[in-house]
Amino acid sequence: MSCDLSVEIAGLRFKNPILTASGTFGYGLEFAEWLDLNRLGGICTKGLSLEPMEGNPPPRIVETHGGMLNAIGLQNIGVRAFIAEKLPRLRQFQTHIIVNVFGSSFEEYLQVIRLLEEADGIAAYELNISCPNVTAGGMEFGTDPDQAARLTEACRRIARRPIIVKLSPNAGDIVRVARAVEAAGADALSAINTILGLSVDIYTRRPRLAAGMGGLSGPALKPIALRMVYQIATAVRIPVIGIGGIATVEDALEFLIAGATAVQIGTANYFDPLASIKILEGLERFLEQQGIATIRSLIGSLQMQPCLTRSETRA
Amino acid sequence: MTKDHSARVLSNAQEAPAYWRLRVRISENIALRPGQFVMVRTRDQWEPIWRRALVIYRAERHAEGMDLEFLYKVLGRGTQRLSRQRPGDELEMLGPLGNGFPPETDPHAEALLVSGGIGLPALYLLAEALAHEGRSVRLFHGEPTVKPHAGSPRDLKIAWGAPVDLPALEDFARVLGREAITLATEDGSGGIQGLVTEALQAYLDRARPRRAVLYACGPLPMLRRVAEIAAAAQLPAFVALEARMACGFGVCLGCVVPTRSRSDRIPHYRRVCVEGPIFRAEEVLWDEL
Repeated sequence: MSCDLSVEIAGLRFKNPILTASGTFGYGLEFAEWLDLNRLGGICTKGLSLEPMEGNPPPRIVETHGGMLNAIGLQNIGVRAFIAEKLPRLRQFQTHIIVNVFGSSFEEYLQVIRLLEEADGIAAYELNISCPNVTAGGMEFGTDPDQAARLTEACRRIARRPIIVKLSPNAGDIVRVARAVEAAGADALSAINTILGLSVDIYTRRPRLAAGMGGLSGPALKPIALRMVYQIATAVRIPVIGIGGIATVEDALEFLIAGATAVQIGTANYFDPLASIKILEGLERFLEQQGIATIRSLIGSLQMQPCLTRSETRA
Repeated sequence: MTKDHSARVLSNAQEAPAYWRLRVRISENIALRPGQFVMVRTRDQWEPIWRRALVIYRAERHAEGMDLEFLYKVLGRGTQRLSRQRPGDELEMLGPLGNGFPPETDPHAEALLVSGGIGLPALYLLAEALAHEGRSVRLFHGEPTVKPHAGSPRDLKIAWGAPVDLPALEDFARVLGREAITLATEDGSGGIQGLVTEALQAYLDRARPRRAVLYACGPLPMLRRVAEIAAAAQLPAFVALEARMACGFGVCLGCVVPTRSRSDRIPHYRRVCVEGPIFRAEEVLWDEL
């Protein structure tokens, strides 16, 4: 039996629900020597701004239990260099290229999208309204439902391609932000970005990151991310892409069952560059073993009612 | 080729107070440049989540593939876990990674290798390659102390003026000759007393080599001083840098160091794992590190 792994998001057909998360997969091409990019459902690029950004001073990362903090500060080559130097090779792969877009102002998001609109080979945009590591923009848009909605609406108006809004767990109420951007025209959501965290050097009594605080990612994040994805998926009609500490096929399956239409693999790419492919192969094996014909029958199948007692099961 | 090699542990033990020696076998013969590194994790490792970067110390090719050696210090959770691996255990070893030392352009220049503590292993393949080319090579190595301890062998030979419990230095002596090696210890327990950079400076003052290239790996203050010495003597210098790394192959952007940019207004951040770990000393903005 061959299982159907394909899913549909915002009118796009993905051959499988395994995508790679922005900021953990470079511009995609860095991974071409480790794995066959054609096998992936999609690739989310490093967040791109209008002008190149140098990012934060080091140290930018610190290892924590079950995860890590980062404060990279959106170092990137800028949207023009991406279009000229990366996209021509990247678009030759048979996978969806989702360009993560970042701006330090409302207008900058629009300018980045306008430039990308003229380029071929892009499947969708992912709006990064949730980066905790920059002073302007980023998270400001992600934590305020009205701001997030205004930005989404403005981007929706000028973009011919689907818009995925990447949500911040640092919002007071992530479900409110999800509903607001859905109403503003978002085609899909991705959740969650990193959670703002802190790590302290006990000898110097200073933060272990030069920027002070940074975003927590990795397996430590998963239960929180899963809970949020479940809450969002039950509150909106548009598809949700689950992100947060996915490192094994079991993790990916939990997100799909909780309501994610697809998932993004992030921090796991660092310690195992083949993580996304291993999870994909695990998914194929699982469906086959369980006799599940299509992955779509798993999505959102979580039973949240209290479990039946043994006697009720017999009856 | 660069890939995630399965590496079988042949031996792994603390060899001296200063370091552990790990020897592994991989099934492939891979091309290496001196100064390149691998990212290592043990089987089924979830904690700590990052791999650890280890510079390739020595390499030996044979019919079944290749044996690689590493020297490391047990400093935290990752190296602690590594130190518990036994012969026969399998490691996941991503590599080789990084740029490595550049091929030498001036065959008449004297190569001056400078290392501090666990910076030493980054220089062995370079020393071997340069010696093989018939180049004049000197090594200046610094340690806080080389005093034998309770676990040291009883029959330590007298070398560098004292019974020195640092077998790795003997590896260098076999390649370069003992007289090409200057040992400096902060407590005077072996070699000359003082910092390795003082020993280097004394040599430059005395010998005044007209053409020389410096290659250095060690703690940051030592590297900073080597950069100053090289600049003052107008000698080219290459430094091997260390940084926290989540991936080791260029995507996490965590391991960057500030380097000179064209505008000189803001630093240009470059990745230790891809553009490094070897940098020209004058490229690095030492004051911002």
